Parts: sequence; structure tokens; C-alpha cells
Amino acid sequence: MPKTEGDPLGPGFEWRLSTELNRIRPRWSSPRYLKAAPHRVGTWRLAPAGLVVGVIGILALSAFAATGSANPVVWEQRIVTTIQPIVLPEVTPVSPANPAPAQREVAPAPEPTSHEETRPKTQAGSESPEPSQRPNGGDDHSGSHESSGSAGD
Amino acid sequence: MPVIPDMPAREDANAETYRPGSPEDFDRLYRTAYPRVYRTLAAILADPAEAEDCAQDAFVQAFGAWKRWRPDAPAEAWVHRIAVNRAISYRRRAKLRTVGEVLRRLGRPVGPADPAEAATQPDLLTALRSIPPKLAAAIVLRHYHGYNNREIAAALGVSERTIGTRLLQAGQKLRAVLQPSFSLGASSAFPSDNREKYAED
Repeated sequence: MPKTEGDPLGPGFEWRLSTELNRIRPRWSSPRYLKAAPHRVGTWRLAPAGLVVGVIGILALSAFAATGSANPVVWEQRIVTTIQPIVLPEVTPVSPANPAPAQREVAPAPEPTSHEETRPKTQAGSESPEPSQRPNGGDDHSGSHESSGSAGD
Repeated sequence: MPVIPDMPAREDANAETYRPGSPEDFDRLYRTAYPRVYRTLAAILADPAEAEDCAQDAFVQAFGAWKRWRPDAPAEAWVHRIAVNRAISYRRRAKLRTVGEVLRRLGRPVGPADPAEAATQPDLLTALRSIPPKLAAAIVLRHYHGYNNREIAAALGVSERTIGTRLLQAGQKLRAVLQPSFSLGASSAFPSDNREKYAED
């Protein structure tokens, strides 16, 4: 009999309450906490992995939507082509000074070869009026040309 | 139908010690306390399936917090607290559902009550289920499980004074409900001077 300190509602009440509650027989059901516990632990352990998988999935979907291709190589190329224009404008304030020397350095390189190849042809081949019309040549023999021209006229 | 056998009395259960976080000890607590918690809930909730559901949910919640349980409080009382709180929430929701159902069926004829069910339904349990769940829980914990006011107060997380008031109110309400049919000496079962006796505990 459970202990009580006094019986303020009367002995009949406690007897009846005990009788009616003892009549109730709880049905046997497997403890629900045994099913819930491993699930909870597993969920918490797998949560970071699930988060990573979710983020990668979202990134892959967005990349697929942006490129229209399921090939990750294409995504990488797209990223490179997207990032380059973003990076270049930051460099542009500095670039006007730099490209000019680069062009100067690059441009003279093919010239000597072309001159070396063309000069012998011009010298060896037919005489063209162009070398004589060059300003250098004109300056050297300006007096003779004028005199010859004026003499001819 | 398989039935959980009767477990040792509360005094024997108190003699057992539980280690917080130990699954084996929680299994032992479940075997000891489940029938008693179930009966407490059966006195609050009308449907046995609801009582079973609440009891199982309470043990699931208790198992989740088992590592944080402090041995200074009785384990069964702690589970009782969780279970009673769940039952209170359950009855509150059920009441809202009932109000909605009544409004939905307003105007329709109400069918007669099942006479077989009425005959098998004990009056005292019906009366207990009709009073507020906090009052019913106080009555069951005090007069069935044998807790004193201090233990009930610790279990339910309220003051002893509140428990005294709840027991008094529960007695008054039960007397009002059971007066016509209570045949076990209603006058002696519900004396008018209960206030002093509850206040002494």
C-alpha cells in the first residue's frame, strides 16, 4: 500500500481509487524510446555530411542551370571565363602603362626579320619608286630633285 | 493481449539507484515506472490509447534528457512530471478539437451514449477525467502513488502551497461530481475540514 500522510479524502476514497486504477492493465508495447534514440544519434552524426552533400548538390544544380551542361569541366571553364572579366577591370587602371611597353617589345621583333627578308628582294629585284619617295631619301637629295624637276620643266 | 506485470511498490523502487545516462538503468526505470505512469495518465485522459501514447512520449523525452537527470530528485517523479505535462498539453489540444467538433455538429441530433460503455466505466475515473488535469494529477500522485505534498511539488515543479490548493480544489470538484452516485460514505470521504489536513503536509 502506498504511503500517505493522513487520509483527508477518507479511506473509502483511496480504496476506491486504488481499486479502479489497479484494474487498469497497461498493454505491452515495445518502448518507443529504443526506436527514437539511435535515430537521433545517427541524425546528429550525419548532419555535417548531409549539409556538405546538400551544399554540393545546390552548387551542382546552379552550375548545370548556368552552363546547360552536366560536365564539371565545362563548369570550370565557365567559372574561369566568368571570373576573368571580373578580375580584369580591377587591373585596368594599371594596365595602360604596362601594355604599351609590351607592344613595343613585341612589335619590333618581327620587323627585323621582315626587313631582312624584304631588303634583299628590293635591292636585288626590280627597283621600285618607294625607296626614293621615302622622306629620308628626299631629305638627302632634296636639292637635286628640285633642281632636276625644275630643270625638266 | 499481453499485459505488463505489476511492478514493485514505490518504496522498493526508491531503494534502487539510477545512474544518469546509463541505458541499462533507464530500461530498469521503464520497467518499474511505466505501468504506474500509465495509470496516472489513465486517470487524466479518457482514452487508453491516448494514455499509452502520452506515456511513451514521456519516456522518449525522458530518455533524451536522461544524461541531465540529477539523482537528487526521484527518477519516477521526474518521469511523472514529464508525463503529466504531456497529458495537460494533450487534453488542451483535445479540448480545442472537441470545441471544433461541437461547432461543426451544432444543430445535429446527438446520438445516445453507449450503455455498455457507461456500465463498465468506473464513476471515479470518469470524475477524475472531468476535472482539470493538474488537479487530477495531484489527486492521483497523492492518493494512489502515495507522494506527500513536498514530493508532488518537486515532481511537478510548483510550490507545496500550490499543491495544497490543488488538492483542496480537486476534492471540492470531485465531491460536486460524485455526490449523487458516490456510495462509499461521501460525507466521510469528502469532509469539509480538509483544508487543515492538506495544509499540515
